[in-house]
Parts: sequence; structure tokens; C-alpha cells
Amino acid sequence: MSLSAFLQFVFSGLTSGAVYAFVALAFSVTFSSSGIVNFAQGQFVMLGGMVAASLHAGFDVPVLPAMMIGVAAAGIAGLVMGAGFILPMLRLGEFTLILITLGLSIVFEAVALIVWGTDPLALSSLIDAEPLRLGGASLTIDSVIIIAMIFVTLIGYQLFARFTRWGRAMRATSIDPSVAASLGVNVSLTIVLAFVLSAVFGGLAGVLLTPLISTGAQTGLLMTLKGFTAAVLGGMGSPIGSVAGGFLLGMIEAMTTGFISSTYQNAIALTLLILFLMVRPEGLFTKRSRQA
Amino acid sequence: MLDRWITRRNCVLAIAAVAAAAGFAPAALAADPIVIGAVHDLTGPVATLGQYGKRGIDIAIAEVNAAGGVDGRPIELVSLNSESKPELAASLALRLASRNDVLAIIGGTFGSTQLAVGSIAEKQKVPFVTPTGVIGEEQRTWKYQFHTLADFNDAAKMMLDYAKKKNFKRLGLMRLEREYGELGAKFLRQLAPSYGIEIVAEERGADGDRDFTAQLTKLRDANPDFLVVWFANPGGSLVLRNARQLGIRLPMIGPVSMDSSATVKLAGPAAEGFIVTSQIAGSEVLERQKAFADAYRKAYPDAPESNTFEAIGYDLIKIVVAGLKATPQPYTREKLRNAIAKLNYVGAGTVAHYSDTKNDPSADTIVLTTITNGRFVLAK
Repeated sequence: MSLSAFLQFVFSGLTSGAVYAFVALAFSVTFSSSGIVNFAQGQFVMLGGMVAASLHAGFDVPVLPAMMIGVAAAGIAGLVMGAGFILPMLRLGEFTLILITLGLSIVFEAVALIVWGTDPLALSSLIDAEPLRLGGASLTIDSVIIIAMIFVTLIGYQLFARFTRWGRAMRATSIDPSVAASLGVNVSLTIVLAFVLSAVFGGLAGVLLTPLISTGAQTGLLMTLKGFTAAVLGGMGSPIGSVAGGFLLGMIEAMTTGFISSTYQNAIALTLLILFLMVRPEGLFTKRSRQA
Repeated sequence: MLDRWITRRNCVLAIAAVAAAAGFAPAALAADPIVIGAVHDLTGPVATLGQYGKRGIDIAIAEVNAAGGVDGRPIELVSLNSESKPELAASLALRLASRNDVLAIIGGTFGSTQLAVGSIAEKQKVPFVTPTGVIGEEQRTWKYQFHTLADFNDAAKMMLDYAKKKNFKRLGLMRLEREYGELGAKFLRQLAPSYGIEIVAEERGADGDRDFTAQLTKLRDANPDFLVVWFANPGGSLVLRNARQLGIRLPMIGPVSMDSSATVKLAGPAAEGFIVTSQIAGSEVLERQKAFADAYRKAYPDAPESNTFEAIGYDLIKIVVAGLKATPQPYTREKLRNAIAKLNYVGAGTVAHYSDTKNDPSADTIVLTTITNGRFVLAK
């Protein structure tokens, strides 16, 4: 095994890790504000990617505006989901709501299949440049952008959560919704905001991912699975933990593919998921205190 | 309730209604459609080929029915979607086989669904025409199955012939891990030595994988002269893109499953120069392919030119129709099977001389095409 090959596996792990990190972060945002694991999360990735790709291919919209509209479309879908489905049914309890998100995920996919068909769509790169060559391995500009963007997003989200009124309201709701409500926090609005934010994160992952690997109507479920696994590995509810979990999962997959075989990539990732759910459900990067 | 309804008057009315229905029945029978069952792979990981195939199928049915059908009876297609799942494909095939009016079954775009439908058709004795090739030796003896895709052994020979002509000696193989990729690898391994070619590395991936840079890096390190990418879309196109990202500029050849406009759409500039074993060069059609190519252009004016699966989708229906025309009335599954088994069929995507011992097309069905400026042209 050459050093350049190993470096290539690392780059590959960082790239897919950044994508999983986006979805895991999105999982965490809705989970901490509402206690809901949103199994439609991956569909926002699909939606963002498909909208951007079809605007670019079908209507000649330049890449950057197409991407922005893709993210906005995901955000609107998140708004509809949060305000239209989750809020009205909040009193049904978390378990029912989780099933509702699973149902919505299937509906999303079915609608996407009707609108776009089964063909995956590709999107041009944001910046058309030759890949970077480092130590015999190559890293595309698209990968660099995704990896940079997840850190920008994470820092932005942390600042928002700490220093803005709405961010603090979201954190307060995550600790105790009824106390937060009694202190004047609009819990309903906070939950809707969390869904919109998580959808925007998903959409971002989608538009940044599409130039690299293309997106199809059936991409969403896979993204949900990977993002969920990453969030569980890192710690559901912890933004930094989720992002770390994303990179960890990406690296595990890349090393499995590189040193063993891609056949076992999903098996190993899902085995880890089960192990973590059994042994350390709070994740690697969070303290046990939240578990009570 | 019920006994109050059963009055003499109602009984008379009921009998009259039944009699009237019976009276109309013979008239309805005269225009009874000829029913063909289809198990398509319209969704699932490699659904694009199923979707493209259906275009050809629809064109052929419209053509046959516009010309008055077969013996004045229109063709009716009962379309079912296997979702590319073999177990679902098998149960749908059984459902079709249990319908007395279904004379033949078509479909099964990829290995495992074809095998599932084929084994049901074989047991239930229903003629089955499929847009795939032989994937297991035992299939060569199946009586009710007819392939329209050339033998993958012949496709592997075409690839190696081309490589030998170009003086390539070292083959790097990037293949699907499922049975389809295994089949390609088996034939290439068997044949390569007789062409003076050595397989220097072999790597695998799955349909759903999104990143093949790890495998391609290992292949590159083995220093091959050319790559065979035995894949299907969308994975195959990602392999091409990844290869370009890694700066791999080797000649690359793929099997017919990559002969699709999806390759151009998904791999973009990375698809340029990619060579595939095909059964139609969309931009340089042969005389026998002209009628289909024109019909396809008319039906899909904005789509890229037809590739293999659109063309053989068209052939599936035309083969069944040709079989029916050679079948004495009244049609039965057995008689239709015997008629197809004697066909010398020269079609849009397939040239097949079926017999009791050969149920797949002849080797000269295959042409090598290459992607040039986003179009498929004959490879030189």
C-alpha cells in the first residue's frame, strides 16, 4: 500500500464524512429542540440536490443561484414539515411523530420519483478547476468546498445558538420545553425554526454533494441512514459530536473500502450503529449527564 | 332484506340482464386484445435501463396497434414494476403466468430479476423474451426463455480484441461485485491469456457506492495499460468521474449496461472516449435499425439518440409479434414458444437465429461504440 493510496482513502473519508456531518448536524438540531428523530432528514439532501441540478440542466440557471434556490427549496420543505405536520401533531408524542417523519420520507421520495423519474441528475462544479494534487493523491475542489462548508456551518450554528435570542430559545427548549415556555419562550416557533434550519443544512449538503456524485430521487433514504448513524456515533443532540461522528463514519467507510472491500462498508457502519445504540447510546462525544 | 328483493319482477330483470350481457359477449371477444405481461425494473438502483427499455416497448406496441394489431386484435401490455427486486419479480411473474389470457412475458432488465422471472416462466411454460443476456450456463438449455442481449462472453472477446489491436497488455478491472460483474470477470479471466493480456489488478464496488477513488487508486498503482469498467449506472459513471478526478487518463471499456445516455449525462466530460460494447450506434444506425431510429426520434424528439436498451425494448415486442404471426390459430403459449424458437429475427437492436439449442443473439449483434462529443459513434 503506497502512501499516496492511503492519502487518497483519507481524502475520500473526509469528503463523505463532511456530507454525513451535515446530515448528522441536522438530525441533532431537530432532536435537541423537539426530541424528534426526523427520518425524513435525508430527503432534504435529495431535494436540495435535485432542485439545483434540474434548474441548472433544464433552465440554464448558473450553478451558484441554482444551489441557493436548492437550499431555499429544502428550507421551505422544512417549514412545511415543521409547521404543517409536526406542530399540529405534537401532542401525539415522540413515537408517533417519528413514524410520521418516516411516512413523510416515503411520500417525499414518491413525489420526487414522479417529478424527476429514476434517473440521477448531475450538476456542474461550483468552481471549475483541476483537482489539487497532494502527495500523489488528488482532492477535488468540490470536496474542499464541502469540507470547508461543514466547519463554517458548524461555527455559524454554534454562534447562533449561543449569542442570538432565537438560538438561546432553542437551547432552552432542548433542556426543558415547559420551563422554557413558562419563561416566555415560544416553543412552537422554536420547533418550526429547528426544522427549517435542519432542512437548510440538509439542502446545503445536497447542493454541495451533487457536483461530486450526482443525486437521484432515491438518494434520500441512504442519506438518512448515514446521517443517523453518524449522529448516534457522535452523540445525537450535540452539534460538535454529530459533526465528529460524520467524519468518523466517513473515515471508517473509506478505510474499510480501501483495506478490506466496499462490500463490507455498510455492514461495518451498521454494526457500529447497533453496538453504539446498545453500549453507548449517548454517543462518543457527549457526556452521560444528558441521558437521565 | 334479501328475500324482499327477490320478487318475481326482479328475477326477470336479472335474467334479462345476464342474457343481454351474454349476447354482447361474442362481439366483445372478436376484438379481444392479445395480452402480453411485462415485469419491468422501473425503480431501484439500476432502474434507468428499465425506463429506457420501456420507451422502446411503448413505441413498438403503438406501431403494431396502429397497423391493426395482430389478426385484427390489438396488443395489450400488462405492465408491472419489480422495483428491481428479484423476489417481487418472481411473484409478479407468477401472477402473470396464472392469468390464462397472458400469452407471453417480457422484461427483467438485470441479472437477478431476469433469473427470477425466467425460472417461473420455465416452470409455468410461458414464453419469456428478455432484454438481458445469458447469465448462467444452465439458462442455455431453457426452452421458454429468449434473450435479446448478446452473450457476455462475446462482449468480453470484443473488448479484448480491441485491446489487442491497440497493443494493450495490462488490464485493470473495475467491476461490480454482484453476479453481473462476476460474470464479466470470469470471461475476461478465461479469455485474457489467449490474447496475450494479463489482468494486473481487480477491484470491486456496489451499485449504491458513491465513491470509488480508493479502488481506482489501487488499480492505478498496478500500472495497467487500460481499464475495463464492468459496471452499470449510476455507479459506472461515478467510476469514470472519479478516474478523471484522480488524473487517470487510461483508455476505458465497459459492457452494454454502460451503453446509455445516462453515462453521458452523469459522467459529463469524464465520459469522453469511453468505449462500450453496444448493439446500436445511435448516431450511425444500420439499415435494419433505421425504422426504429426514426420512430424513436419522433417519439422522443428532445432525448439523445437511442442506445441498446431502447432498441431491444422495441425488439421484445416485435419478436413476440413475429412469433404470433408464425403461430397457427388459436394461439397458445406452447405454439407461440415453438414459433419463436424458429425465428430468424433481424431487428433494431438484435440479430437472433433462435433454435431449440440457441436462445440468444448471434455475436455479430455487438458493435463497439465510443462517446465523442456526448454522442455514441462507432469505435475505430
